[in-house]
Amino acid sequence: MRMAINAQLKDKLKDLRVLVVEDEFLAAKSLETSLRKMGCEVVGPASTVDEALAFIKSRTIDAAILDINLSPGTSEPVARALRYRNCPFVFITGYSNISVLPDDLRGCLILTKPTDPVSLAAAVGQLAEHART
Amino acid sequence: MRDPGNSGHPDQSGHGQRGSIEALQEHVDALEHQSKTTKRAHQEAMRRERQLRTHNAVLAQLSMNALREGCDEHVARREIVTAAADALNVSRVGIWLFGDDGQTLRAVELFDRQGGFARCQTVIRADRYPRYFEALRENRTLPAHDVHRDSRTKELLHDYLEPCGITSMLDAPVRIGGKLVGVICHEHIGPQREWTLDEQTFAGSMGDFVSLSLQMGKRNEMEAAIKRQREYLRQIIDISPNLVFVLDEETRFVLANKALCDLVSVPHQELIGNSAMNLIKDQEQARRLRKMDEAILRQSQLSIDCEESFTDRDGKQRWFHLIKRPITSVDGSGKQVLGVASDVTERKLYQEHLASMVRELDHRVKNNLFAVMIMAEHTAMGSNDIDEYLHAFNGRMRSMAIGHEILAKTNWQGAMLVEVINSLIRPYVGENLRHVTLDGPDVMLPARVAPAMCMMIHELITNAMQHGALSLEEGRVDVLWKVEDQTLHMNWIEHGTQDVAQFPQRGFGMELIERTAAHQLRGDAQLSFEPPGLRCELNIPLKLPADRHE
Repeated sequence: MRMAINAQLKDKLKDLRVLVVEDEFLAAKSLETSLRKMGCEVVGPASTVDEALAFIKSRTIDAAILDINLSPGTSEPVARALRYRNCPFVFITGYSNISVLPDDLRGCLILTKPTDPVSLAAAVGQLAEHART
Repeated sequence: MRDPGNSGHPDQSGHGQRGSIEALQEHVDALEHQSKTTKRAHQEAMRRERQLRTHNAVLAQLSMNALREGCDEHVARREIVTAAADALNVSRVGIWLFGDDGQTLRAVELFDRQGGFARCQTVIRADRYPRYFEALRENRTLPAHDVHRDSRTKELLHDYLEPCGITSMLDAPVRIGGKLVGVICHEHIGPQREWTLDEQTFAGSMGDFVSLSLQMGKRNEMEAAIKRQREYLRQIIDISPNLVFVLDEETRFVLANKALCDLVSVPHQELIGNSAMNLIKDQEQARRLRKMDEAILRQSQLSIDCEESFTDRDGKQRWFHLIKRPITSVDGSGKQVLGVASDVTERKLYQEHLASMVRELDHRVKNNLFAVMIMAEHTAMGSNDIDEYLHAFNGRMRSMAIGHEILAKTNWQGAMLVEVINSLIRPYVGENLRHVTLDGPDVMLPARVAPAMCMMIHELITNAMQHGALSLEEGRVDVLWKVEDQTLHMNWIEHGTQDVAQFPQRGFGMELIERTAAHQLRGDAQLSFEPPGLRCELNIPLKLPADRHE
């Protein structure tokens, strides 16, 4: 798949360590494939909050992509752990209604499924900028 | 003091004495007469006083008995006629009332001091006895000392008085609101009788008593009718599942139907007189409702139509459609608040359910399209040419469609495992299932699990069709399952493949099985590629702690 990613963005994404938290296999697979194509290193994917928290503790992470709804539960505790560590993240959700987020997490970056590779690259690029400043 | 009669000469005294004796005698006679007259007058006065006392006692007695609260009209009339017969010392007393036409009198009560109460079929028509009726209309009483001579009663002689042997009669008209409605007849049998003024006055009072007893009867009847009407309306408001109530200016209940009493589980008698605000726990809501009621009472608002939610006795939230309007109190003294509330909780829940269904549908459609995209991408990566790609891609789409179809049938409650396997395998092997053995109990896969299982089983089937047991004439697949501790243990065991070299590279399909089982379904999948064929052991929890309902 050819993607319209400019050189500057490509450079930002190079070797970026991105934690993927997604419990649906197809979605996780898709994110992994896209991220690898962008030159990122995929951490995970984690399919539960516990798995994700374990990755956060044991690995170096530059950015994260979190599916809001994990079955069961949500990735909100992961988001809070990342924020505590100043690690940038983006939520990803199949719901177009974002009111599912609690107040303290409103205003976070959100991508809706299905995510096109360009939007994903742009969002991760934004995270990368945040990560390296 | 000197007697003037004894003055004069002695010779004159013989003659003069006789004369004075006579005069004296006359004087004594006159005195005696005067004394007798005085005595008679005194006796008469005494008799009259006794009679008046009797009359007064009877009137007092009647006013206490016949006109007492709730006394039956019929009983009251009987008390009047017996008391009148005794007090006036007459043979018979009758009460006659006009019928609905206002033209014919009928006896409703007839008391004979000899024979007691009697019935009388006689009908007195006003047009036949014009003078009698004219007299009734114009006088307070009709004293006929001699019914044969009296011009007012003569008309009645032949038809009524003579057959009954009546000689003197004292009738008193009965009026209501100034209109003649009947007559009370005091009838004397025997030597003619002069009716005294006192007796006439008493008879007039009897007419008044009959009038009062009639009015009382009417009032009793109206009260009974009001009571019946009240009960009638009470039944109507009590059968309603809607809450019906009326609040006074202090928001106290003056009316509450059964549905309301049941909802708040407070007995009716306790509810009435108590403030509706006592039932509302939420202070903010209480203030809001109170404001509404005040607006209604001031009539600054003629109707309120709103929805309010209350917590019922079981702690459940219930929604009500509330309508309030001003209503004039029963005694007409002021305005009150009439309220009707219908429970719309079911509708509310249904609306919420519908909204969440729409959200969920939106989510699922997007998820499915997303899955299609990813499937297309990964199927393409594993395919050598376009035919192979189309075949594999269509198969995967079909497996998703089958999963959807089975779940749709149960309204997304779940899918039977055996139905899932059969539906997936049939397109490949047709009705000829001799290569496949299915064995296990009935298992309902939850909606969360079923679509993923469909895709996994589909991958196992296509792998077996292409590379495994189902690609061989003698190949066989055993699918065995059981459920323990709410976990599905399913074994897919292929037989007939001896050539290990035929086993495929671990491709997208195998990855899908392993990662879906582990990540998405929180179980695991063990795959082994050894003779006599592929073995896949799936352990899938059917119920997760705090399972999210999708």
